[in-house]
Amino acid sequence: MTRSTDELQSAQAQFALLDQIPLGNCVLRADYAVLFWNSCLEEWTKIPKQDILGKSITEFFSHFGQPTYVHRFQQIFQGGVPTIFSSQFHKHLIPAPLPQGGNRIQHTTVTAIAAPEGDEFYALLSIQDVTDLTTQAQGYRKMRDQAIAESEERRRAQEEAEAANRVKDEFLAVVSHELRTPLNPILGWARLLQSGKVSPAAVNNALATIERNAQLQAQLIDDLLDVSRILSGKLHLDWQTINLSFVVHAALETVHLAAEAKSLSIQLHIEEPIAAIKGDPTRLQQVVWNLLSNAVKFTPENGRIEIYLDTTGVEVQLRISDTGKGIPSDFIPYVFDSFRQADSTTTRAIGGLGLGLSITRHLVELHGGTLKVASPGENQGSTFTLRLPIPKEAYSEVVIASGASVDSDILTLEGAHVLVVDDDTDTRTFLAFLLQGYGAEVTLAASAVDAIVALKHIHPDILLSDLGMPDVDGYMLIQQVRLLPEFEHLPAIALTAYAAETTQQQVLAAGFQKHIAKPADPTMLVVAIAEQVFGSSRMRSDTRQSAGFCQESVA
Amino acid sequence: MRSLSADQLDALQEFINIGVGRAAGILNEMTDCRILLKIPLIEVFDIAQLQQKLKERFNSGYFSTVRLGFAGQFSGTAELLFPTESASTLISVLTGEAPDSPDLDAVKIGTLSEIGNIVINGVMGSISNLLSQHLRYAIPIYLEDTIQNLLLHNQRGHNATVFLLAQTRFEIKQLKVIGDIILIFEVSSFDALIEAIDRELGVPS
Repeated sequence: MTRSTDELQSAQAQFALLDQIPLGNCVLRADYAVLFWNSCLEEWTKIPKQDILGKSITEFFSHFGQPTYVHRFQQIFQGGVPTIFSSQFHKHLIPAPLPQGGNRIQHTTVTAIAAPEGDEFYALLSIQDVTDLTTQAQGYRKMRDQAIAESEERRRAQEEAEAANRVKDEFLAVVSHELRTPLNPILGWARLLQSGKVSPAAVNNALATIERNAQLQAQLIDDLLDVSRILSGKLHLDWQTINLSFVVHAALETVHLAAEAKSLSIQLHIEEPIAAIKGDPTRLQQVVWNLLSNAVKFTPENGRIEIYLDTTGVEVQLRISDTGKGIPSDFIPYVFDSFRQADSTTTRAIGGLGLGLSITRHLVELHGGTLKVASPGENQGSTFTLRLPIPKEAYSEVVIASGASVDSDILTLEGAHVLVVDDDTDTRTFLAFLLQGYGAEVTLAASAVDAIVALKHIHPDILLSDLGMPDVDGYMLIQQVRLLPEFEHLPAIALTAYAAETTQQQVLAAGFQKHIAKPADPTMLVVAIAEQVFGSSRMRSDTRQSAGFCQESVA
Repeated sequence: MRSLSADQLDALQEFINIGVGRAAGILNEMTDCRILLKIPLIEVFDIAQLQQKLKERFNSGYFSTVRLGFAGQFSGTAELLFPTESASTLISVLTGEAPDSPDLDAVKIGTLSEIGNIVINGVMGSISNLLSQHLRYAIPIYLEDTIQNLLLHNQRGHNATVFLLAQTRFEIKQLKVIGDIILIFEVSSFDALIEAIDRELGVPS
């Protein structure tokens, strides 16, 4: 005991310096008696020196008696190699509680120190507090991981953008190809016709080819403009109350010939009455026409197309099924994607840009409706289902059956004097030819100035004017015309290549009654002129009901 | 550079294997894993040869290292190198941390320090038994660097320094894990060691 007391006292002197350093230090004798306990440990463990000195450390921390520790400390007490006790394997050799809960994370090194007397060794425990270091390292690691994740995210976004750009580049390549394709027969035949070497029998065929290809190209340009408007969010709808069955009928008529040519049977099942919906008649006809013409396009000869139109509670539902080539299941999710075509070889074989369905879905969505597609697989046909909401309020008003076709054989402009203003000679010549063919008297003006002169001179029934002209454009012309009291109410139609809706609004605001996009369908143009001049399209046969309007009562 | 005879190498290998075996025992106890540590071969090199050898084997990868300086009748440094891959395997097996755990770095240094310390202690214990003399030890330190940089500290002064390279295989049977750790002794008083070995072999000096 005396030895112990002496040893304790001399240890206090020997290790006093350890009170001055920021490590937890304690000195153990081979019998585990605590010879020194520094002030850092006092603070960490809340065990004061006087309580622990001279006592066995196992009384306070029993794990020192476990074989693992006994073996390794034995080496130390024999003067062996310094021993490390990591925080991972030994959690807390001498637990030091933290105010916020848990214990300090420690890294302990035990070294052998020669005892002052004999050849004994003491064990000196040096405990490093790595709590803050560990927390900081974890913090930095989190920041690093976050930075890596963010840069990864940026890289992904960039890749996506690049992919989208690639798709657009490919799309542009297809566009330029498709736009060029119809030009070849048009230019080719036009040159041949000019050369006068075409036999009279072939002339009609040549003209039909030119017309067909010009129409095809006009359609392509319309589609492209639609896509561009949709993408820029500038597509506006001319809302009207309409009955979808008229739209379906009208669309059917336009695909009728194509279907007949392929001997397709088209069956129409309409469950009357069909509730009226709100929508843009032109756009909805575009939707239905697109679905129908797709069905015709992709259904082989002698195939069958079925159209079902019915009212289901709050929606009007149109289903178009065909026995055509169907859609592979892996392509179904992309059917409506912009700039994303099905197999490009198919597109080439069939022709067209493959934009139709993308435009169609956007139009349907603008109407608050849905468009879905289902196909059991390739060569097993497909079914498109269009649903449009029925507005809540009940009403009765004129329902426009948009785009109802007109039999051009019975149209006439006899008795109408038309003043045509266009700076383009070819257009003037064409219009004169067309309108005269329907019995109209036509006066031509090559500029707005000429037009004003002619106007006062001939007093026409209607003014048909181009918008984009040098010096004085169509807008200024109509404003000047409206300033002349006698022509305040002269019917006027604007013809323009700018088909955007903003133009439509500008045109009407400027003083035109109607706006027709170039290239105008000749029949539509004649109908429009007849409506403006005679109040409705006048037909040669009085038994025909006027096309375009019909009275419909809706509950 | 004095070379070792086959008998001397055998004897040295046996001593080191005893130490490594003792270390494995401690590791087993600590981790409840059947860990087998075995040194199939000991080779003697000068620094250039050693660098070449390690470069061939491990390219220019990073190593985790535990280093222990010792002095006495013979002096030097014992160094345990963990190739990165082996280090991750060992840590995940011994601590139960997944190799991609976010806390692995924090765990790594402590774990490798202690494992390295245990293996070196086993071997040093064996060698000091062989020399029947007490050695003084520095505090073990932990480093991470390339082979080139790790061995740089040896290049100052001691041209006669001899390196003992012991490539150690560790096997954890029930987990079918096999890996490498490399034990390097840089010995500046090689003669003392050889004499001790000769004494042990009964060769008159």
